[in-house]
Amino acid sequence: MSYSFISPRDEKELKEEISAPGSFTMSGGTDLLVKIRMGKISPQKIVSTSKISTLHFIDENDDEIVIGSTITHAELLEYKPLREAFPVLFDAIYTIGSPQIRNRGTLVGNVMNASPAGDGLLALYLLDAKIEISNGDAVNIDEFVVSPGRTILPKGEYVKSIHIPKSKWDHHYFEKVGQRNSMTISIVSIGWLIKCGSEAIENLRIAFGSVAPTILRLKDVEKFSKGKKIDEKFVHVVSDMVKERVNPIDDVRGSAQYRKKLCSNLMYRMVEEGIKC
Amino acid sequence: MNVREERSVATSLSSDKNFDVVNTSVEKIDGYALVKGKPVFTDDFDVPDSLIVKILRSPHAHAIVKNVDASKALELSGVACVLTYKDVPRIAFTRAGQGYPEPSPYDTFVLDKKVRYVGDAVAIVAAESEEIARKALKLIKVEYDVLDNIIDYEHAMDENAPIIHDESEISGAYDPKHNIASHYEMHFGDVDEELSKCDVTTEKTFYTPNQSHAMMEPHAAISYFDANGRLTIITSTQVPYHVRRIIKRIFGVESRVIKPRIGGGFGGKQAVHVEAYVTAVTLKTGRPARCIYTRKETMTASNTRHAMRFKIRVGADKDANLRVIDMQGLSNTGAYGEHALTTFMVAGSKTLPLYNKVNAVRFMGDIVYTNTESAGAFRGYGAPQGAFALDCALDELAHKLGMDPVEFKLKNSIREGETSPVFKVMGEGREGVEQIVGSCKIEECAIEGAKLFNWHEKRERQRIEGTKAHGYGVAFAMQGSSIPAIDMGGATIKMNDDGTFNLMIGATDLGTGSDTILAQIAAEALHTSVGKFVVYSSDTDVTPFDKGAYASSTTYVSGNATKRAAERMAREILKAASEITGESVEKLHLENGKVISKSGKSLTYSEIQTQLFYTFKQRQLEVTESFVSEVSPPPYMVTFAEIEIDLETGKVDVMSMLNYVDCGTPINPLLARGQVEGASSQGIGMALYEEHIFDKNGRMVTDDFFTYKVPSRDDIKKITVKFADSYEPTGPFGAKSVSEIGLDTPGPVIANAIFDAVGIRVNRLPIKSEDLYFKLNERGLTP
Repeated sequence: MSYSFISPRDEKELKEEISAPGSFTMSGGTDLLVKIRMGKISPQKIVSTSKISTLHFIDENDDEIVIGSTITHAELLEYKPLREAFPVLFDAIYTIGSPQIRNRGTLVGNVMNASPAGDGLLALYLLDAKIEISNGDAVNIDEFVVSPGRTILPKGEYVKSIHIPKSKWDHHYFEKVGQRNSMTISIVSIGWLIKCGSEAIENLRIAFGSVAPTILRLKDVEKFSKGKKIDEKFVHVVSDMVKERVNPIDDVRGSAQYRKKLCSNLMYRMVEEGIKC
Repeated sequence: MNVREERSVATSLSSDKNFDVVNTSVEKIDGYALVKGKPVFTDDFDVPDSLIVKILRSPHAHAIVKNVDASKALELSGVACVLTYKDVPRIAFTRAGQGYPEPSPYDTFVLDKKVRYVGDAVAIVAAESEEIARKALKLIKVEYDVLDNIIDYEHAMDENAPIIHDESEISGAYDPKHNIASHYEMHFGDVDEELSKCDVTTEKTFYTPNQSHAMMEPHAAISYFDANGRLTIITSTQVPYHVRRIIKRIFGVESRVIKPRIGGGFGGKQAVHVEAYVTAVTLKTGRPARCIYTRKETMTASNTRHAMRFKIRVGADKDANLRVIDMQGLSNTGAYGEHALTTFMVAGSKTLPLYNKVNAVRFMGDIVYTNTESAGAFRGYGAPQGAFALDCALDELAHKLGMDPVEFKLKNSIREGETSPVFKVMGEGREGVEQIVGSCKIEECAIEGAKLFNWHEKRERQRIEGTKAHGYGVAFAMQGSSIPAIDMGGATIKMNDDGTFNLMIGATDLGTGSDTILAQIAAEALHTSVGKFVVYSSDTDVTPFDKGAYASSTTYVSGNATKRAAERMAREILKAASEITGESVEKLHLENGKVISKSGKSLTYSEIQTQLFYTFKQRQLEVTESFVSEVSPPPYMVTFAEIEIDLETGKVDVMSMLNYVDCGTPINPLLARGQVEGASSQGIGMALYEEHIFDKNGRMVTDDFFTYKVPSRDDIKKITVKFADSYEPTGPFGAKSVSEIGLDTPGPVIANAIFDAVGIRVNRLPIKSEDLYFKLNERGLTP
């Protein structure tokens, strides 16, 4: 196992380096290095984005927050407006790995890893984030991620940033169920955003992790929820809908049957959280 | 007796000791070096010109090695040698680092023509660099004749099961033709008759899992010939003297074994793992050889805890007198029989004496070979396995009697001044020794512990509220302090003219803090401070013999040896001072690093040794003392725990845990607390998270920290440790052991608390959320 390691100074140099065959783009390296060590990939060249100053930024305007591709999880947690604007993203990032991992790992890395269990990724699905690619395209997150470990990013291109449109929500929730409490990969993860109308749900978004090849947004459940009141009866119905729509697999962390049960049970958290609308 | 009565246990210290150094939390003497990242571990030793050693391991659980073709690997530039079973001595031995003769069967070869688990060694490769060594591994072509295997130990004795050890050289195994490495049975009284007379009985089968030690530092060793051609081995071991003896047995060569600082062992390093491989390379090539295991090798190709199954039957009369315990066990020793018999016996010998009022006891079972990683020594050494079955069964019996389990267990447990016939019947691999319990504060542990934990108030609380259930559990435990009549340790103390002492011990500090507490013991006896001791451990060419760090023995055995040596040194100092001053010894005493006479004169230790070096009756003051234990005083512990179950997911959280411990005098309360907290954490891991999962070919899937989950800080929450006021008459300054006992209770206390919360008796560890969820679901306790 031997490879060259290159750390371009600007985006032009980056683009040249990553077009070579066998080259892998590295952000924090928290997934890439693990994969190399496990023998899952054998790169000929690793191209690090860490020294490129134009990728290291957080921009904010009235409509959106834009996160550059070398911004780490820890930096995001320290960025005060994030917690106010996107508390669900804050909560999700907070559960990623350990402090050491969060100091290295980036949100863009979490997207590129395209894990069905990706914590930050789940929040980005909920927030309708867009991925800005170096060729100028901006792609919706659910179209960007294709399957475990795969995205539509063309060879020779890289992710410049993530755009998260600002939106107002009354309630947010993120939870991952793992066997242990931290440094864990979820058996199932769940997140939702709720905007209440005067008497009922005005808008709801819901997503699950680790139950399908990608993060799963349940848009028909979202549609169904509009105008409904959150009570036991409502939760009972959506919990059944959820059970039918998730499509988990058996693995070492848990069986498909257990995962299905978890998904539907976690819906009851809506009532337990005391959400009234 | 009613523990609910408002009463307190008398807590007068049974001795008149006023300690200066002992029973204080002095700083760990190597603490700063460790946090500053000083080069202290085996891998930090830079032996120039070392070959890097890698092991080619079997991908099959059970196979004959038909042919090894290393020609391609040997052609690779930088490969020094590739050794196969044809190149190493065919001497059967056991990797278990135990006293001699070992109670474990001789069923292992450095390399064999048969492989017995996925990860078993096939060839040793040595090369100029790690990269070349890795390349060479890939170039070796091995032809295997794959055999049927046994992964599930409950099928090891099946009629048509393949025979794992059919080699002719095997010795000391009970019935290898039927895959039985060891067998044990004992009884007194008639268990069946007693059970028939009982008013209440319980019968259940309990399972405890394999567990990985998960120590931070992996297995590592370096070997080389010194300038005079003496073989030297630097190794991360708990047992340097046993390593020296076993290397001699295999290769017929004398050696010097140096143990630097060890980065955790937990019993995993009470064995010969890497030493034989590097030695084989150094003997073959004449060159230094270094081998540092990867995490995967440490997980899959070293040792694991013996998984055990116990069918247990217990019975009591209607007055809650426990009358009978019957434990029939099965233990999985994996591919080789390391510690097979002894861990199994400890499952009985370190649990049964706790309940000494029974009329009949039986303890029996088989320890079987399977095609899985070899089991070995692991903190607790069988006691956590036995305690899980016994304590849970007694909990259930208390429930059937409608009695508070604290009250039931306490009523039937042993007291100071009493004995148990089990002490004499069951030793480690042979008969034990009779002993009267000289210190036992289990009443304080239970009664004061219950108050501290709010046990009675908590048990009045509602258990299920909304989607959460809360439960409260208690578990009782004992352990031992050393293996009596076998374990021996020595200590040497040498006085220097600057007023310092060299304390040289064979005892092996593997992170426990034994270097520190042994210095405290010596400082106490010599009336000086810890800072005056230069501790060195251990080097077989320099330090006196010590059996090594295992069986909760270092504080007790090495501590007693150190105390003896220090007391003799004190006498030598007084004698020298008497000669110098002309005053009789009776008129002199030691105080604060000086000899003080009744006439008011004083001489510092420095002044005395300076005179003895240069001007007066010249000699070096140096003493060596040994200690072999006659008894193994048990520490005791009562653990209370509160757990929370999420009824929607089946997830269990240990909200708080109180360990009330009788370990005699804690020599260093802070380090003792650390031992209990650490053991509790490992016990929580065993109870809730840690699991070896195998694929259908017998490969361990959970071979890294990504998939093998040791508890994180968030899983431990609140552990409180409280020490009973206790003094063990035979211990050094009243001390008993404290390093293992903490692992005995988490399994049963969590299972008992789950039963208390939701009425489900979990009989298998680890308790996985998923399994518990479906049990809750069956009972209609889930949404």
